[in-house]
Amino acid sequence: MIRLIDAELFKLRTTRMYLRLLGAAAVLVVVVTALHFVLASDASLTIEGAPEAVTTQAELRSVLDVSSVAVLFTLILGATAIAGEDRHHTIATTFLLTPARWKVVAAKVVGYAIAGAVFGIVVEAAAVGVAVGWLAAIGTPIPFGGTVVAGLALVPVATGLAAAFGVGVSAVIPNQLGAVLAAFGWVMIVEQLVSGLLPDAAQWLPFTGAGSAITGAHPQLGTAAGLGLFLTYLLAVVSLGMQVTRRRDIA
Amino acid sequence: MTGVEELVTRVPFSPPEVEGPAVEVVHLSKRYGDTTAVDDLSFWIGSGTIAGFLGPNGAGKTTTFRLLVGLATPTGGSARVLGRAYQALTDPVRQVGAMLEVSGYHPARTARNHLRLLARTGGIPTPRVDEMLALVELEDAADRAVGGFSSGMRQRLGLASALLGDPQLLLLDEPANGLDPKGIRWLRQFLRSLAHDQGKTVFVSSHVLAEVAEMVDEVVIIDRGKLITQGPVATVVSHMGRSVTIRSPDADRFADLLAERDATVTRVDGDRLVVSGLEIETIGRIAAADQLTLFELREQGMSLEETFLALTASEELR
Repeated sequence: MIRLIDAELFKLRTTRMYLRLLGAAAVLVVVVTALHFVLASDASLTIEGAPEAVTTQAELRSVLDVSSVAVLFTLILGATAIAGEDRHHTIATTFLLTPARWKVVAAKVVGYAIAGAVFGIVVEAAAVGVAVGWLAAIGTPIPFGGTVVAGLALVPVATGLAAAFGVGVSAVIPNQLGAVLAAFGWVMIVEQLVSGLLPDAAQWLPFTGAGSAITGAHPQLGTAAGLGLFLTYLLAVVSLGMQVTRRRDIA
Repeated sequence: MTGVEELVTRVPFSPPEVEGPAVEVVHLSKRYGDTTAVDDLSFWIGSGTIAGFLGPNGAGKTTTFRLLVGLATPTGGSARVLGRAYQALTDPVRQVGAMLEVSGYHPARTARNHLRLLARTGGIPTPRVDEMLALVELEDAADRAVGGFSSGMRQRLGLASALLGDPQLLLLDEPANGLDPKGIRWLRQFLRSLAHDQGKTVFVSSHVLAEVAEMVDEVVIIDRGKLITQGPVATVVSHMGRSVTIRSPDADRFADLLAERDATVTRVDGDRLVVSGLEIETIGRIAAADQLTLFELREQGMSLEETFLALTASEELR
């Protein structure tokens, strides 16, 4: 299994998809973080909702929370795991080398979780770099401490889990466009609609519910319970994906 | 009963007794909705032989390969390699090397990285990658993205991929597609040496008989998913016996009359037919009785090419 996980990471290193998504996410986070400091430093801005200057750990954590947008990117990355191989017809070679298809799905889940966590760390590093650089430049002490570290530690967990979830979606829907649209549509449309219409139900959904619990923003669940809930969803989608993958013909 | 059906029942057809067959297909069927791609197909390939898998485009060769390596599930029957289902192989990369039309490459990955990926997955030492690149003469293109490869280069990379694990059995689906004449000659010699010098089993498909006729020991010929015949090349040819070439402006009428007598008729061109299953004297009498004009009536032994064409000729000409 370690050999298969290594092969999955090698696949990601030898194509452009990972770096392109990482680049896009990093640029987005850098721009948003910088914008926060630019707007916060502009004294002429008196409109409601203008960002505050960063002087406390909670405020810095709030700024750095923009890194959690990486979850969407790693979800999409995971959604290309099997569907992308179908698109380029490399899935036939993959299954020739590893006829036990469940092992391929399992290796992709673990491999993409690792790659997703690294993705989260890099994006965070970009946000931290901008924040620290800006605060240092204007001579403001950097409010670094346990609260900020706790927030930073959760992002790679979330991006890794989102990538793994995406792999499960990709196994259920082995079509690249279909898998990406399904994953993106679930988070951005279905969960948002449910949140608006049935707020009580929304707190149990994978991303707005369990995901927010992992980052400590759930009204009832703590981080550990949120993690457990998300892992339950992950297990369900991966199990379904393994069943679909095991049975289907490769054309 | 047509000549072809007679042939199927006459050709000796049994698994080798000394060693287990390298490829064993028993009553194999695959249906997609109303379409039957493989229809109750049975054949065996003995270990250490090089066998041709022949049939026109759409005959079911690629589907049979996919069933052999577990990429598709049979509707009925079984397909085994090295005595077991592909999924039950203990070390597939070292046991079976497959080059299939359904296998592709990531366009952004280099040839070297493609092979490195296979080596990592299969636990094959990395130096083997460079050996295979040299073998298929892709060293100079090794670090180029496969997306820019010609079809011939892709075929050679596919062959390198199949050979990477130095497998006992090679399944090659149309490996000569896209190769230039020099490449095809090299492929023939290479596959022969694999089978005859290294004792490996090679099962190679083609819709162009000339590509494989000179290198195979035996042939499996299928058409419309069904077995037409299997056996050593010489046996298959001899069972078809001799053929009669007819050149006549009344070729259409001839074809109808001969088909009524269960002869196998292949139209070579507008006025020329090749007929097997009837004596030349009988054909002469048919011509006389129906007052059909003859420009040529000639008997000859059939080549494998003619046998192949006769066996896979369209139903309406029979």
